[in-house]
Amino acid sequence: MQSIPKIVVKRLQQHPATAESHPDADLLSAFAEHSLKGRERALLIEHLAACGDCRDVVALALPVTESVTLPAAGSPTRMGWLSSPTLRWAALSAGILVVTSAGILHYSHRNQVTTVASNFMQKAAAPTPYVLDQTLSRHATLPPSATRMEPSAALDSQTSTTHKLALEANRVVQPPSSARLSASRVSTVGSGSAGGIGSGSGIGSGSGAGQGVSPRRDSIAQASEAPTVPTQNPTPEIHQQVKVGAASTMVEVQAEATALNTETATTGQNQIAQDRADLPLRGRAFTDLNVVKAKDPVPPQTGPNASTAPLPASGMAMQTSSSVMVQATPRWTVSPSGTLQRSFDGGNTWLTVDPSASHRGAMALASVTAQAGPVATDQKKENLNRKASTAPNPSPVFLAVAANGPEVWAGASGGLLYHSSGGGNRWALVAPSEAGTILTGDIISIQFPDPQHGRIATSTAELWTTFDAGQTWHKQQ
Amino acid sequence: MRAGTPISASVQSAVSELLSELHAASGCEKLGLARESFAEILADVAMKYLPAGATEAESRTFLLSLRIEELALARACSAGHNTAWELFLIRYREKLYQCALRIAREDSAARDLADSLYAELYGTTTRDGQRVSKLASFTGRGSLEGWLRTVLAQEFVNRYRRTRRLVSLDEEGEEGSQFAAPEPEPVSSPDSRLEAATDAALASLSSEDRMVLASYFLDGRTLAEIARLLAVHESTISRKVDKLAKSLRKKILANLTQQGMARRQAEEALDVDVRDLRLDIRRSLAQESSPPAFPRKRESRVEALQEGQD
Repeated sequence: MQSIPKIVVKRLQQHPATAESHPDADLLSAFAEHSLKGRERALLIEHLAACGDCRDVVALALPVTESVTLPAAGSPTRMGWLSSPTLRWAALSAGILVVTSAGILHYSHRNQVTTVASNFMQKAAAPTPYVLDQTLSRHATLPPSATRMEPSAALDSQTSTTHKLALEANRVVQPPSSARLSASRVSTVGSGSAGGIGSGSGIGSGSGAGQGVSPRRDSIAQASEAPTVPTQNPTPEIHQQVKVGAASTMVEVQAEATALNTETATTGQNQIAQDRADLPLRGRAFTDLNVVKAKDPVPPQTGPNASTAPLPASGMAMQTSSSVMVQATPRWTVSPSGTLQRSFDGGNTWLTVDPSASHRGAMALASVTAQAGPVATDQKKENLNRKASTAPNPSPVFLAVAANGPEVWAGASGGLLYHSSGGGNRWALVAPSEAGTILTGDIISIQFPDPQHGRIATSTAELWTTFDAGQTWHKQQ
Repeated sequence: MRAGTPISASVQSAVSELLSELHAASGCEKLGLARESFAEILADVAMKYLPAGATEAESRTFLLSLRIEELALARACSAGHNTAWELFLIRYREKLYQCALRIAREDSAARDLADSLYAELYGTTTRDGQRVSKLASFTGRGSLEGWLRTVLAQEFVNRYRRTRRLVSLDEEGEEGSQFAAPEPEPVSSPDSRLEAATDAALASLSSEDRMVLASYFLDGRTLAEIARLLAVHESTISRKVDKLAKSLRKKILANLTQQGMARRQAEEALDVDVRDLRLDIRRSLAQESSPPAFPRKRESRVEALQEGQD
């Protein structure tokens, strides 16, 4: 690229535009969106030629679109290939054909494996000597009687192998706590009760519905008081190859785990009961499994026990978990509908958190001023009782959230302010007050640049600040 | 309505003619904005941007170019209508944070930026007992989302300028700027004829050309970014920069020779002084820390030019 003389650069920097002549945000945004025409555009460009600040603003305010894809003047041949309508339609048809073929193949393959699964169910009552290869035995404690079968064994015994692997692995590696929670955390979030079997065995994630947030997340978020369950035990990877069908088609159990387990999950209510018996989760009901799973992040496994640390579940769950980033510090946001949400995977999936549910009828932390005496204390209690009683049974509409590591502040309508020092696991209702004056209005802005110093703005134009992590509050006049 | 600004007849006529159509398109009723208030808003916006002698046709064209629905939403929010505010939250709250994150590139700074703007949009300050919302200044020239991006960008740029000015003594001590040697005086000051010739050459360029040069050589913007600003292809900007660089040199040399300078002398005046070269090396050797991220773009091409020409 040709350079320009230094003197030109220096003279370009001279005569910057004055502050009074800066165009307003409307004109700048209209220019960035190419809505300005004629003289207005010319005047704005003249200003931009002299004003570096406005150039920076316009550059930052550009819409997030792809760069202008105008055809290059010097490359007519590149466009010529697709210029023919015949070729365009041919390319489109070929694409449709490929997609359709892939779909048909996948569907037929899936039906084939489903048939295998149904055979498994029929033979489940008849224990069959099963096979575990070195991979599985490395990760699970197995009965010493396990031996390798010949590949030419009967179809029934072979097809039951994989399912038996699931049950045995599940039984063997059953956690006294909730290892399956960690194995299937992401995949079973909101997926309902189907997550039980698939998650534990590591064969897929059951319904495969765990790709994102499901409608059940609200119920998941309700029991935010549930204690953290440690995740310890490994979930085995299963790499067993099982011969399926009369033809010598080797089917990777791992690859087919999703389809297999889908069938299992939907028809295996007995299996759910079996797992429930196998997994005494500290007396917690199985139906609460998802609640606990939704709340607790996977702690990173380090140290000498790392080799026996939980392994990613196979199949769909593996694919899901492999794409998940488990963060030590969750991210927080307020949804457009006013619900408080938290993400443990960098924003890929979000879970609704309801601080009011955890606090309802429970403890509340009140703030007192330095001048507080018995009167203020009583006032404080009255304020809290008033807020607790007036807190609507439906979740409040949250408007602002601020997080500093585990310290999270969430503000809602009606002056409701919640604080968590445990990353959102437990919440306390905070009632800022000073000399008998309490915070009123909707909390629309919360700023906590560090855990100690914070500022809250309300819809009634009040500004409250704290310098001691919310212990005391001061209303700015 | 701005006080003391009478509405011109052409604007009044255009507003009256288009009011029914625009009012229906804006959805004012469900936002809680009265028809009369909406008419006043339209007239106010038109008077703000239209020239004094604008005709009725021009006024009509202008009014039809506005983002009516977003204008109604923004003004209904600033007037305190809850329905409008709820709709605004649904549509723009998350976008506000995403824009802030894209601008600030860091989560906590983005949240701080977005929260401060959000408070201004809601109207936490009052004037004469009336809540003052920044949304009252939206005029519908561009999209509301684009306006929010621009306001965020302005706030970000302002904050950056403020932090640059307010460098703490501790930071200066760490960087060694308190003990830094003063910048050496240039050995030779530019010839006044050279400055005049350069100014004349720059003045002969169009505003757009000067903007391209400033964006590329002063701000360090990429060709793609400049192309997006001007809605042209990147190769167009590349060719333009090359062409401008060559033509500038020719024009400056022509101006200098017209002022009586010999050709060789003019070329030497444009080239870098050898003594400046030694000074630049000393300065670059003395530099220990890299420049801050924000002005890096701005200074990078200037420094690169200096080094390249040296």
